[in-house]
Amino acid sequence: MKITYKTSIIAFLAILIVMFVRAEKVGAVGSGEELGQTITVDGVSFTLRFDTVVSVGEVMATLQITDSVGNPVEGAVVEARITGAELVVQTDHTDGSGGGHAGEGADGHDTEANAVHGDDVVADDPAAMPEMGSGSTAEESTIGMEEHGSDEGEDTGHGKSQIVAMHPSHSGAGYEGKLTFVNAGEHAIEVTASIDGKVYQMNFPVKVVGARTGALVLGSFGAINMAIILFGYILKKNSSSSIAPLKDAYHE
Amino acid sequence: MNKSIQTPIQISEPANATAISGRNPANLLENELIGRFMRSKWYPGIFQWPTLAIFMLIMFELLLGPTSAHDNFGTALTWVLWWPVIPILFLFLGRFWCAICPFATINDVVQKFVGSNKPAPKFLRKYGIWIIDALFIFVTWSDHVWGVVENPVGSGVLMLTLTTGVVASGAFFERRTFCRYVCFLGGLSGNYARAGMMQLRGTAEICATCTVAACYKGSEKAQPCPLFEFPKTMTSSANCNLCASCAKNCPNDSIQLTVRPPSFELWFVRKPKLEEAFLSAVIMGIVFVQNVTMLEAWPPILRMLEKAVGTTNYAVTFSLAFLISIIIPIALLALTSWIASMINRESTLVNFTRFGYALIVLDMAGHMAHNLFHLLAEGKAILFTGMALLGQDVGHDVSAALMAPQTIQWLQFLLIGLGLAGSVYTCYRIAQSNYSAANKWRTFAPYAVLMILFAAMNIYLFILPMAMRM
Repeated sequence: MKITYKTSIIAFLAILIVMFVRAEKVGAVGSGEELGQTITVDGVSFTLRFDTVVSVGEVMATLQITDSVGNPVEGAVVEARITGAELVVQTDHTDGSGGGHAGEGADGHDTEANAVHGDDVVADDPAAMPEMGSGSTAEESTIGMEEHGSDEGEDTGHGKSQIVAMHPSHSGAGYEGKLTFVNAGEHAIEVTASIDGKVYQMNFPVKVVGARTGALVLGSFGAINMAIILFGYILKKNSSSSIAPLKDAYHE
Repeated sequence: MNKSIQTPIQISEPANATAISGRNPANLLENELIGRFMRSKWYPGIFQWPTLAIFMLIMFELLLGPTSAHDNFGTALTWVLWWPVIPILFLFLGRFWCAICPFATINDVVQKFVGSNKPAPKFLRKYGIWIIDALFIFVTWSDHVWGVVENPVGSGVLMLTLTTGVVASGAFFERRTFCRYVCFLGGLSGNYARAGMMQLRGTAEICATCTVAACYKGSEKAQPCPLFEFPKTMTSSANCNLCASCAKNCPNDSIQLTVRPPSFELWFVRKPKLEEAFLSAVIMGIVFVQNVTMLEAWPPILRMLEKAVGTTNYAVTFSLAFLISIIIPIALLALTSWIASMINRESTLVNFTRFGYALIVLDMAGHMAHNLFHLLAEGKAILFTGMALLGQDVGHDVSAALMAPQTIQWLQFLLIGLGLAGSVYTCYRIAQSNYSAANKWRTFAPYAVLMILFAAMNIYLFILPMAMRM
């Protein structure tokens, strides 16, 4: 292909757009993807969304709960807490006896969930686990289910995780709560929802962007700009400058 | 495809605002204070360099500051202060922002030291506005899908991308090629500047005898026009950033800077262009989508779309909503133009192109009204995040509002009302300039209805509760 002004400018614009897209993705890992992770348990769908890119600091999360016919579920008691990366890794675990296996959510994310039945069962009570998923359907076979219950494992490397109550939003969009991520990397958000005495528990994996992303982006763009300036300098040395002729004023 | 249309009736375009006011508007450059200041070496540098310094601070904050938009001073300055204020600047000062824009300053600095000053490529000159249209749509889309406004790093990436564009433009091409032919903000400001109140032109009688053309070519006194304008033939303020280089260069004192009524230029567009009319409709769509996605009713709408397309992937559902929002004003303008074409016997395309400009006033009003909410409901965030930068924490529970929501809403209605009046009157003037007395009102009527419909849609969206940006 002949290299002309036109092709080189188009190539440059294309590179600029690709850079923008790639950098945006670095800066917003998972933002578009995390918006709308859905886990279905016993016909009840739980969709977790964030109002922004999931990064270190405070992030508003909204959990939408709908029943088997798609109607919003009201009156649920919802809690969420951030847990460590270790739990997310466990989603690959396949447990045939539980009727479920590690799989992907609607967006292709690994997700895990527990349906805990009984009024007297607490979310993290290992005793509740044998009952988990007893009502599983084919729809739920994509949901990973497993045992977990020790706080030690969950908090490894992530400090003390705080339980956040998620309250019904004013707009009726679901249940809202502010989660605080203290460090970047792979995390899971463990959500426990109590609906009409039935307790559901599930983990949503999230990738949290760290503060260093900005420095990396800045460095990358800085290097590219320096290269352009250097190239411009070389070009200037090899050619004399020119000013467009007056007729260009009438180009339109 | 640079389509400009030919008008069937000779338009008597006034050279300045005289035709409206009935008297000669004052040439601001003849005012000793203003004239001396604008022709001095300090102008516009006295504004440029502080703007660049603030830009550096913003970049530092966006990329290396707090990761939460709520706490980021860069986010507050950019999206709570600058973005809402900029359309107001366009209205009163035309494209003046472009003279002091930090990206333009970076372009100039790079150009001064390493610039090859190649002529702007022909294809950019030919398709520039279409490229701007496409980039504007792309950047708005990416803002929602990847979170530019809500994510400081995302905002930083957008700024760095623009910086890379101007660095490349400054290094290889003459003047401000990027600003004129590629920058989507330039396209937006150019469109709004048409409705702006500032007008810079050459004096026809003086320019007619000029053989120097220092305004375009430059001289030892100042650089040539950075946006490739030639005051002698200028009929639009879309590409004049009031940098006053032409005034500094002109040996005959031909340049006039006058104040004109808002939207005045839109009444007499001599060569309307499809891409510019299209951009006006696109901006209306973007104002809609910005409003809709900030409504508290947006999540239920999103769920409805998720059900319709069968995926919860936000990129897919938002793209659909975005497409619908962009298509609505374009389709309505096309439909109205088709109706008008039945009346005035001109093609739909000609009508679309000619009357598309009337949307600019309502675009501006919608843009201002939407961002007024952010400025007035979140304005204190600028102070709070600024204090946080200095180590003072005001906490998260303090309201950032400068005014009560009800007051803001009334101001929004007022702005839309003014925008509607401006757009309807512009339709009338366009019809008056182009059609016979018999066809004037009949052509005007469907466009007036369209403007009322757009205004009603905007007002309806402002009635609904809106979410915060910070």
